[in-house]
Amino acid sequence: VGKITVDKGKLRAGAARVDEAAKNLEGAAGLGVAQAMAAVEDDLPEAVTAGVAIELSRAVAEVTADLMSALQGLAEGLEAAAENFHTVDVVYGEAAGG
Amino acid sequence: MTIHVNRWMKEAQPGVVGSRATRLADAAGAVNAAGTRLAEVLAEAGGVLGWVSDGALEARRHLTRADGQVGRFRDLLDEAAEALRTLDRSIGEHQPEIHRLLNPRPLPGNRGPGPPFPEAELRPHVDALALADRTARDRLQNVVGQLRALGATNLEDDWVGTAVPADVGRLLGKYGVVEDDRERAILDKVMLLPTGPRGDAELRALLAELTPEELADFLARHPDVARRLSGGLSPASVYAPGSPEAALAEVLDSTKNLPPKERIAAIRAAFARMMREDPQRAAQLALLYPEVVGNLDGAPLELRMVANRVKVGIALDDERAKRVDVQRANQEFEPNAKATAGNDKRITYYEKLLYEEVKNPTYKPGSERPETMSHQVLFFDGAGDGRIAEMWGTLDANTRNVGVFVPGTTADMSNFESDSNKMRDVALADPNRDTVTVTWLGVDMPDAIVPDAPFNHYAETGGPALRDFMWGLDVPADKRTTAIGHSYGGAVVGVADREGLEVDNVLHIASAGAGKGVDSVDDYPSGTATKRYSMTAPGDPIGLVQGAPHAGRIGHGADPDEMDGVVHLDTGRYDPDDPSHDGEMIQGRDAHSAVTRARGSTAWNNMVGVVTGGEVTLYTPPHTSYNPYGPGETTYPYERPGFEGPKVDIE
Repeated sequence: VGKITVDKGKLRAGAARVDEAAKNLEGAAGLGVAQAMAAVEDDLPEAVTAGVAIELSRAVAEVTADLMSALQGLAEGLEAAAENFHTVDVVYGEAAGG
Repeated sequence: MTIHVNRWMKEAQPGVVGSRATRLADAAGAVNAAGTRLAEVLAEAGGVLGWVSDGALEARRHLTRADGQVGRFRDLLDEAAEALRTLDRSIGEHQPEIHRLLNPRPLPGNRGPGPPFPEAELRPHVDALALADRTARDRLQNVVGQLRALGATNLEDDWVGTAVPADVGRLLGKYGVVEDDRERAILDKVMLLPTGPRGDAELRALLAELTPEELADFLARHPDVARRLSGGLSPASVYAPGSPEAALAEVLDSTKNLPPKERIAAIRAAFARMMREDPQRAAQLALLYPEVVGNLDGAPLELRMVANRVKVGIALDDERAKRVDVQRANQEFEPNAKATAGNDKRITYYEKLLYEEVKNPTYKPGSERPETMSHQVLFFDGAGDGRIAEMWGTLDANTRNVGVFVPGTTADMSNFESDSNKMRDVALADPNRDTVTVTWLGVDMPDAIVPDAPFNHYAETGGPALRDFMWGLDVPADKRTTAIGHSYGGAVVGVADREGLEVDNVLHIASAGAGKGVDSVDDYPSGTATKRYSMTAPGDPIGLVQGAPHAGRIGHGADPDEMDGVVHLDTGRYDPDDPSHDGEMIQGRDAHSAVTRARGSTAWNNMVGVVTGGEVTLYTPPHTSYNPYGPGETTYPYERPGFEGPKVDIE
């Protein structure tokens, strides 16, 4: 069993990077795809592809929302860990012979 | 026939759809970047938080799965982008030609009618674009279907709930023990405590600063500290007069020579006083003395559960430590698959017992019963094969039925979950949601049928323990109580019955016997006041043991299927909707376990019927043809499709 001090700065920096990735994702996969697919509808009047574009937009939005939740959840969790914890007992691993 | 040229074939500008595809590709890039960021940050956090060995492995395992899903999402966006790019290339190839053919430049000086419609020249270009359009649509539709399937795998749950530690505390609780300033101060003091009883007493005094909730969390995160609480109580004189510790030590000491029922009643009364006077201190007592309270008949069930969570936490820690030994042994010697699997199973099961939130089978909307709950462990001992009892449902004033199931030969910690889940399903089978069930493995069961099961000493030990456990449950008299014994568990229930078990009903299922020394229901103290039922499937090998002559440590009394005063039920047939059995009769070697496993079968419905006071199917004997030269041919009624035995409502 060993004890290490939690590097709060590193956790917070990690949270910020994850948050930034979530924002980029929102812009590119959320808004960006929705705008592009709406434009495809206008670009291709009477084309059968145009009919699927909006479905694609919705499906991408749903999965994007899930992924964003995951990223934001991780960011919040890291922030909380940085806020609440100071040291960590390493219970398993080298010290335990693992 | 005039060719129809769609608007988009005339109007679409080459390159425009391609630019839309670029936005999809950009999205794929953002997804990829997010996945990479996820992996980097998680790995970094793992380092910061000290995730090594198990913790690092679990984080990596989840990350691999999450990686796969992120990668799939990225690939699908790329595929959609490529579908649009292909369409765009086709537009670039054919649209200028279509435009040229539909807009011919007038010849100088020609004022007559224009040139004829160029259908023949247009057709290959229009057909090519129509095909490109359909192909793009099909590819995009395929992408949409796969994206929906990806969403249906519950991406968020996977990532947020378990994979990526959105709930970082959960992973920390499991792998990286952390503490706030107060806990840190306590731990610093703990490190300085001497070993032995004096140090343990000082430790308890130190931990008593925490509320029961704080203490439970602390012990869950510090199994090494919890392990130091394994000792028993000192004499009452050691504790402050009037303290819960003194009260419990006093009652345990003063009642040790009383008959079990009186002792349990005295313990119950002592706890009732503590709970009235200071429920917080009573809960603290359970946490500070988990080995004393966890399995103590007469202690309130909620305190037993609290204490047993501490014990399960210690056992989990032991198993994780053992894993290191097992892995090392596997590397240095011949790999031991059995030891590895057993170790893995226990770790997984203990983690479930501690962390899994399960549906409450007695939940009713509008009631005070919780919809979900933690596992309720009423008895726990991880030593050897393991002993455990788990309760399903909320036992309260509105509970109508309480059923306790005792499994048989080969039952141990590694397969207990399966037996426990049977009783969860029995509780769920009550449409009124008023049935609470317990699976009790409070005794070491035989490991094998031939060398172990004929011996009755397991039952002689287990029977009184089961009886005391039932007394300890303190089920009010207005509830319908049932003890069920399967296989060797039947012999345990039989001995408990012989030793004064107080229940309304006893059900023997493929029972090894009615209990050593029991030849008729008159040998049970409750006589016919207890209703008894029994069923065994045709061809069940337990038939070789049932009613066999007994001598000394061999034999389990009469065959309950044959005893007067015991209602003989039929095991009947499998559920007709069960595709693996198609409604066939339950019989033969497999029948021995099927009688308690096969949901929806006649046997299963009988078990539910006895526990909940519903309909049961009575036994219909087989027909044996007369043969003057040898044994006649036996045919069982359930071999005939559609046969249904007589049914009665037992309450």
